[in-house]
Amino acid sequence: MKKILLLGVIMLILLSCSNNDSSDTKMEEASYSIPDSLNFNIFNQRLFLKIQNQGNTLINYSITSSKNYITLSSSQGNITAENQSEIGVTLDKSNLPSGISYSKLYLNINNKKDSIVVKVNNNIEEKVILNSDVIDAEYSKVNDQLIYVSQHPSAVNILKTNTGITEQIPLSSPPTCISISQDGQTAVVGHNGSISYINLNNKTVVKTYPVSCYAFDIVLGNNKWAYIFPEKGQWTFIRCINLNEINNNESLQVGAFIYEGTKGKLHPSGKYIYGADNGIMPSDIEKYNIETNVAQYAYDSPYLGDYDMNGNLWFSEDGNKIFTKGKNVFKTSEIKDQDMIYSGTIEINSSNVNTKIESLDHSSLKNNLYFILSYGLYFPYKKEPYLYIYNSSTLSLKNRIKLEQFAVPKNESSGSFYDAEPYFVFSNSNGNSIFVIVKATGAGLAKEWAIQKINIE
Amino acid sequence: MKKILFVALLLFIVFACDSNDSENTKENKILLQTNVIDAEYSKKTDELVYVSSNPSQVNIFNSASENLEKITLEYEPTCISLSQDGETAVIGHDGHITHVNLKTLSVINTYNLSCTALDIVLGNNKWAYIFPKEDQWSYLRSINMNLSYNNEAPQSIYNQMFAGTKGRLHPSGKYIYAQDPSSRAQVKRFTIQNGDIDDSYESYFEEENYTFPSIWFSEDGNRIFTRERSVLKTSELKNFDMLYNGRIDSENNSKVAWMDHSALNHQFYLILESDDDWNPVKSNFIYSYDDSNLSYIRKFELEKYFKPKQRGNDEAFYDAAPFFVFSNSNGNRLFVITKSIEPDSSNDWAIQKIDIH
Repeated sequence: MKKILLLGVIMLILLSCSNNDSSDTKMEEASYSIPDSLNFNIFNQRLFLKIQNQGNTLINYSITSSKNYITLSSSQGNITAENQSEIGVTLDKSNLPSGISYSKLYLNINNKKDSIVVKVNNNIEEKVILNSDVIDAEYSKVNDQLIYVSQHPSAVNILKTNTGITEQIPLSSPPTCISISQDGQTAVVGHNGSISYINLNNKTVVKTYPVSCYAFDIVLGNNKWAYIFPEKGQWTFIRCINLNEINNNESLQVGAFIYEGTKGKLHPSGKYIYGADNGIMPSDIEKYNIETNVAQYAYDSPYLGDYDMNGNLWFSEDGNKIFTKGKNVFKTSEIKDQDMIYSGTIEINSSNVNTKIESLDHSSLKNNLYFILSYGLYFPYKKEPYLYIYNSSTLSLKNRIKLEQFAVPKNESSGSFYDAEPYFVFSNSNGNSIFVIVKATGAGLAKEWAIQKINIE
Repeated sequence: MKKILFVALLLFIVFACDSNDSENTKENKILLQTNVIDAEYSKKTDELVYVSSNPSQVNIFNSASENLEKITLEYEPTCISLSQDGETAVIGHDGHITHVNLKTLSVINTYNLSCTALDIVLGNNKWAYIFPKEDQWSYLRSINMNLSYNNEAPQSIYNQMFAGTKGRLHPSGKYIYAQDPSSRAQVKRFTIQNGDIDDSYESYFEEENYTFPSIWFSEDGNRIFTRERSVLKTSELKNFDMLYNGRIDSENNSKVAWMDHSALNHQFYLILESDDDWNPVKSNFIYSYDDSNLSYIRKFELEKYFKPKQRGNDEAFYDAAPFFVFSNSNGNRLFVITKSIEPDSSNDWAIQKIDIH
């Protein structure tokens, strides 16, 4: 039965072949339709060009592209009457500039010339995608190096911002925090139960020291001592590690307790560490004297819940001001009665609730504060995809810059844009470039961290 | 002349069509003589190891030679876990576990267990960890197979979990990650570096919906994939562990029934099933995705099952429902364990091979 049906089909084909025989010898004017243009969005790698033969005669076509970044699945062929062909048009975007590019496909259909405009929207992200994650970061304005620690892989990563070159120092265990020396020559990296002393010049781990806690935060003094703030232990002490000694080099801080999860920063004078507590209400900031090497608890701010501190702080370049995560600003002084005195608030005009400063840097050359914000009532807090620029004297808004989004494909033809969540912001020594470490949270990227450079006028 | 040639060509096609009729019924899949209860794959030895209950045995399929060997089991198996070196395995039963040597094809020992094993993990330290099938709040059983007796470790503050939780050994060998079947469906990490579980914590991440849990890892262990298509990043550091990385896109809100990752191909392969927890229907395709951004690449259709004409019924083709998919160590071939969806088929299990180009 199958064979009979097939033979019937064959007879029909023979008849149609017979018609075609005559058309072979007489090229008639083709009736066809093609699109006016092919529009590639930023996610399209391939589109299909459909040629429809609307007439009763065979059409022969050939196609050429005006640009070599286009390849065709078929550059010539024929289409029988009332049929169509789909030709795959594939782009190589690797050498295309960002933005819109135009080219043409030239068609010859039964000796009639035609053309189709090819519009390509290409998106080259300006930020640099990192090969690692980012656990903690600091910036040395002495040698313009952005130094961040990663746990995939466990390493210290040194980005020379003038050249864009990144070098890596492998670590033997995952890092939890980092602190760079004020001269930018060395660093200490905290781990769970140890710290690593790093020579940033010759890119080596000088030595690893045991520490009696999980390092939540770390500060490297000019005295070659490291100060480690524990993650656990509730009321506890700063671990003070003498990096000049090989053994028995851990001392506990002297004086009042600190609370687990306190964040510390070295004052630009090098004499003191200021700390911002976490996990206790109301939040406060406090000072520790390290002039005699072993940290000595000095005193806390004169306020008790009057101003939000919220668990982190940053200094102005000269060390005269403290900017807290709670957006309040305080003056510093060597004199206790004049130290940590309220001097203003950074007012934020945002529709988001409970905004807090996640990272801040000061450029005295530009008289600017650069910071990024988190918001939300519950952990994990979200981060606004903006860089805020404020006048550091008047604490007034100068600019708010939207960070570049991540373009993530879903398939061959579509995709989504994801906001960049900022984690760290740094100004270079000239104050003319800002570096923001961002993450494509929830975008599903294997490499979800990047550094965006923003030029400042 | 043209017409004569054309007729000759067509006659050739007629006969070719005729012979194709019989070729279509030739199945390329490897039909199995048993059912498949659970399966794992060792990329170290390129062996697909599965347990069956009819009869109760461990079946070792060498994916290169396609040779099949077996180890007879005393009890009906419920789950299996291979060692990271691919040399040994543990099999869970109702009230027992069996430790087997896959090289000598022998049972090393059988141990008592205080639960029915829903899922099992074999650690690198000759400890086995068993997820109980029944009860509500229960605990992850730890069996120390280095001891002659009193092998099961007691309940502690670290091994608490809800019955129905399923887990997997992290490629580092230090941790078990598991997802519970509660409404929050958090992922939990158990530390097993020292044998018995001595630390555990839960993720901040919660699934949007109740789920029948299952999790898988990327080959490097940096990512966790869940049945709800959620993807999390892992970390040695608690504060950075199990953070939400993204979601695999899927039409019809499908669930992941099985997943395998090939780091060599930078792809992962999914078996998807319908969004019906109580009566899920498996798609008869294997879906591949790009591991760099979770974007969809393509799908592979599975070979159907041919049912010849018999007892008055016409011949028919039935879709293959996939249950497990594994990529081999070279990344050039997938092995899919399938079963016919024919209602009467109780034992139409097979292994299908898909070449990856």
